[in-house]
Amino acid sequence: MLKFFHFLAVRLAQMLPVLLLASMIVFALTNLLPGDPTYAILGENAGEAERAAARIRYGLDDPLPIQYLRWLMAILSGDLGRSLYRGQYVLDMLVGRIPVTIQLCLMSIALAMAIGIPAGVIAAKWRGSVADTVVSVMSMASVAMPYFWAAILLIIVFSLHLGWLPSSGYVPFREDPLRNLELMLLPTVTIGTAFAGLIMRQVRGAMLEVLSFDYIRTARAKGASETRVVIRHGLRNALIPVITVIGLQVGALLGGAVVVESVFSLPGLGSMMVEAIFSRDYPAIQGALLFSVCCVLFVSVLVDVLYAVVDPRIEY
Amino acid sequence: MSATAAPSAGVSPARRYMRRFATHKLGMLGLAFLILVVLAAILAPWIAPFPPQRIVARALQAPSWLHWFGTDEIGRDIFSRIVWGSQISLQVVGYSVAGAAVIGATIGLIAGYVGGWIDALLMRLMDAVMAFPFLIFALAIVAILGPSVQNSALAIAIAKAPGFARIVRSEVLSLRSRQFVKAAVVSGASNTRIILRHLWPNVTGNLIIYASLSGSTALITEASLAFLGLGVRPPAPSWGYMISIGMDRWQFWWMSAFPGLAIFLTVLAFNFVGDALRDASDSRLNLGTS
Repeated sequence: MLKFFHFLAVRLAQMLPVLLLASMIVFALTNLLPGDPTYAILGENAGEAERAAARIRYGLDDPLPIQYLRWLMAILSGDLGRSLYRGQYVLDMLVGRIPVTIQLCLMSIALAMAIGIPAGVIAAKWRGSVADTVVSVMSMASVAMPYFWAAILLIIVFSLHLGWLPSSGYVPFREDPLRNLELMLLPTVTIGTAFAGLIMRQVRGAMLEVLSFDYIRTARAKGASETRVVIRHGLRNALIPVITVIGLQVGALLGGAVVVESVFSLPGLGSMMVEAIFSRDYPAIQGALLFSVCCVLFVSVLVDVLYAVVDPRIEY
Repeated sequence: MSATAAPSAGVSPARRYMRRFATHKLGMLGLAFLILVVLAAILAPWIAPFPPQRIVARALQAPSWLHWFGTDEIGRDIFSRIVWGSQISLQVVGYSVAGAAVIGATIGLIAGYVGGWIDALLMRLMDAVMAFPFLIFALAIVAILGPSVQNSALAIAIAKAPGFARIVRSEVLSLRSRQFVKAAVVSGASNTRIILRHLWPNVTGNLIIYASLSGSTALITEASLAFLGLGVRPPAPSWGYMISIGMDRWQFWWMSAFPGLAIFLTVLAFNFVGDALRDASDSRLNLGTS
């Protein structure tokens, strides 16, 4: 157990320089721009004296490295600034929005695994069969579909023509769980099926490799049932690449959420980002960027930990 | 893939590569479709039955013999707009992938060849860029530079460059320890000569594979930016933007279905060609598809 915490600490420490560089990129993106930032703070009509005062008050005359350090210190103490557009604290905005995005992402991953793992196993078990071809075509197609297009097609079919599901809106899970799930279903299907394609591909490839190993033959020889061989001896070992895929694709997942949230008008991180971009709300953009970077880096550590859980051969 | 490898059976490596590519059915299909899209872009003024910005019929007509893909919310011909839209899509894909390859390959070459703290610094920087979700990073850059086709291409190029840098660097690192590079160093070749003559030709194979797989990411990202209203300025036809107009008019399915189909098929074609290029080479590059 002590070893585990040591491993975790080392991994987190390795993450720090990347996180620091990422924070510099976020700062640079919004501060190296040409133009006077006081226009964003005070508006177009402020006089020169007011602008000069604001420059001193916000420390805009200081050298950029000093401004960066001050900004970083503020963030580390939990102050992400105030939204220029809504006047709200950015941290509060994030806290309100993030649960929606996380729910969408988790449900999508769950759906992707529920479709992708069985489909990949079937394709590998009956390699070259009709089922295998169907799985391959589906996985290629789902990867090539832009999220927003898939979302619109789903709305056209399931909301407009069949009238089974609502096309937009959001209710928090705590208020009305059933209604929440109903509203989240189409967004989940949009992202989840695309990810199922990636998972199918990985599971199929990994299963084909694993099933050719000697210990599978041994398991069969000692009379284990075919189901047991495939699931217990095969799949367990083929799951490792699945964790890798999910880990590597968190970024894509968050990117997908941005688009899908704006199609279904879900009040998550994505729609906050799009809104912030249109209103040139730099503190809100910075907050959303920082959060998404932390998310990706955190999941990469989590994936390393999960490897060790799934694969007993890996030691910390 | 080394340039010094003896060709077996008297066939040049390039020709062997092309032959293997030609046996890949999906790859050839993808290539054929991409050629079709390129032709559509070049020959748009002659292929498109109607001018893309002109109102030529009643608004919101379903597909018919006259208007193959129907008409849009003000009565423009959707088929013509898709044909013209291929110009914008291909431009953004071309510029952004070429830009990413140039930026990324330069950084990768320097990092791999010079090594030391420069390598460490450059690659940590690339890690940091890659830690941002691709689309979100591109969104932020476009937001700050201002929405336009050029800025979309630039944003995609910057976001995509680290991928190229990583591939080139790892390739350069493995090449540096090879005999023919050591021989070049010993024989007193200049750095420029070693890089251009010995390293670069051996890096291009994987670079081309990665570039064609990047084409699909670039296209989807461009379409997403245009869809969110941060790409092309209306009324110019762009596939992503056309879908976003169709979004407000669900019952007129053809408005979003056909531009989406254009994106879908082109992305599929890029993926097929990329996979075929990889299968045809000896490369064991594992890049995923997105």
